[in-house]
Amino acid sequence: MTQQAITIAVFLAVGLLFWMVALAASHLARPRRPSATKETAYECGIKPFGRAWYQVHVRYYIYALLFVLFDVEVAFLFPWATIFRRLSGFEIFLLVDVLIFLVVLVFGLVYAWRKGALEWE
Amino acid sequence: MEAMTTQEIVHYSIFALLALVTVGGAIKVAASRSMIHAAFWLFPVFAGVAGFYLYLGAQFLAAIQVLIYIGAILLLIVFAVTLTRNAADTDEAQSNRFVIPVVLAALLLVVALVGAAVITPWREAGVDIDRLLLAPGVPVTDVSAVGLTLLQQYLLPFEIASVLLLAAMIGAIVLARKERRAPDEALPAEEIMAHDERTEAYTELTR
Repeated sequence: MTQQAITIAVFLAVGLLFWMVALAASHLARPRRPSATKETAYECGIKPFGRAWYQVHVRYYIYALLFVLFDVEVAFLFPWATIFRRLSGFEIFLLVDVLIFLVVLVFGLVYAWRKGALEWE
Repeated sequence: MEAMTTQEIVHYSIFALLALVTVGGAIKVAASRSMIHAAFWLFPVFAGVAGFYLYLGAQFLAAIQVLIYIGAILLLIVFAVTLTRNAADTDEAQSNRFVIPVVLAALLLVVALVGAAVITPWREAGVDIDRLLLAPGVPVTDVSAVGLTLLQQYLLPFEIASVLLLAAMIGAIVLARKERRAPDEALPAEEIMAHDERTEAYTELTR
């Protein structure tokens, strides 16, 4: 544990040092000639306009929500996958268990698909 | 008072560091006047909790904490905040109207957490913890331990979890469908304006 803690501490220190040294070196080495064009926010080559803060559309939220749901679903599959082969004789039960779990969620995916929730209008 | 061994010092400093990150983040979440800042301050809170899991030897839970809380739920909260009109505004007076119910709810949570900590039969370090498992020989820190308890002892909650996820999914879709209107009024007026502005600006630039 102490050994691991030291390893993590070394990683942390090297990680912090890396960006500090890199940024400091770049700060010392770079020429500095600011202009109005250089100081505008970068918007993929298009001139930025309007405020950066505006009310975004709800569809982003729906996508994030669907992502959370399938993320949680996959998280549940990891512990299942690790024990599937360890419990010999119970494979069928385990398979049925997880299939019920997945079928219920696939029903949700089909519902989302049919209702057009996955379409970017 | 006994002098602490090096190992103890290392342990306590890790714990103190994690607690500092977690509690400090939580205080900033509550104290930030801007909602988007409060949302982003959740990151050290979630990361600190993941650190605690790792510190306790629950690597799987730590990975899941990063994957779900930082990767998904934090993203969801940030998206939810950007849905609101004035995410970056800080000038609004924060209301203290609900101070009494909020304090009561917080106290209830404290009672629940302390109660859970007291009632839970914690195993002492070094004690044989194989009895905790349904299959002996698998260390509790292993992912398999989670899998075994999930699929044997807690099979019904596991299956019900899928129904819960399904309900959340359908709820989200029903809420989203409210936004879909007939084609001629598909976009709220404000968004059409914003859209026009953008189109204008774009044509101006590409001209």
